[in-house]
Amino acid sequence: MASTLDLLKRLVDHDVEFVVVGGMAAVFHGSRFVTEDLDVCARLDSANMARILAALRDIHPCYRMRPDRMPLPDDPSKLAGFRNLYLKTEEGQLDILGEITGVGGYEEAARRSVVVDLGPERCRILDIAALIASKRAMGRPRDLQAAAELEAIHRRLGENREPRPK
Amino acid sequence: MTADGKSSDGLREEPNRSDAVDLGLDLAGLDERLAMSPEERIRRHDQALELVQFLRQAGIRYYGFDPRPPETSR
Repeated sequence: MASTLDLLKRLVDHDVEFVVVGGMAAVFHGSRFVTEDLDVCARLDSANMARILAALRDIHPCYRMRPDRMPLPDDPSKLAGFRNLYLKTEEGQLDILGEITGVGGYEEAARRSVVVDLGPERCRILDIAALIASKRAMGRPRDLQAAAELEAIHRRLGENREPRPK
Repeated sequence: MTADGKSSDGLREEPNRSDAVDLGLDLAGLDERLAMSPEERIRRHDQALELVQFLRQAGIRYYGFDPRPPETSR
């Protein structure tokens, strides 16, 4: 069965400029909340949009929020001006965001990310401090609950990095 | 469901959709899942689970230990 991991690898293989954000980034940092969607913050210029379309072409992406589930167009110029894309594919759901609340656009998200090995390839994942900032900025009860958990993990990470008292 | 949020049988109250949005719930996703058969929901969960497990292991490698809070670590 094609999985959402394959979806992530597609983006990497096609040199899409993106940062993993949201629930999957939280899982990387130790969250126990499990999500089914892959959320990424990506540069939404025409060059990167063309790479995104090439990456997704074989797995029939369509607009998830539209009742008619309209397929994503093949022509990147038709996506000019989109700030976010909420997609459904054969390998899972993919939300492509141009900006992260409380963090900023792709450049800022990339600056506040860590680089993670995916076998031979690498991808960026939003760092835990930026992830907490985004959850706090969203401010909804569900986000605040996630932020509280991430803050507990962040403290734990700090404790594990500090020298132990003798 | 009636306009005041009560179900037509009057026995239970339905959650208000705008309240659910305020809570941060993905109502479009919820509607989509409700339209699926149980088998489809399990398939969808399994589809995401491989990435969850992969990222969890990647996090453990990155930090050098399991960063999950102790009560949930396995």
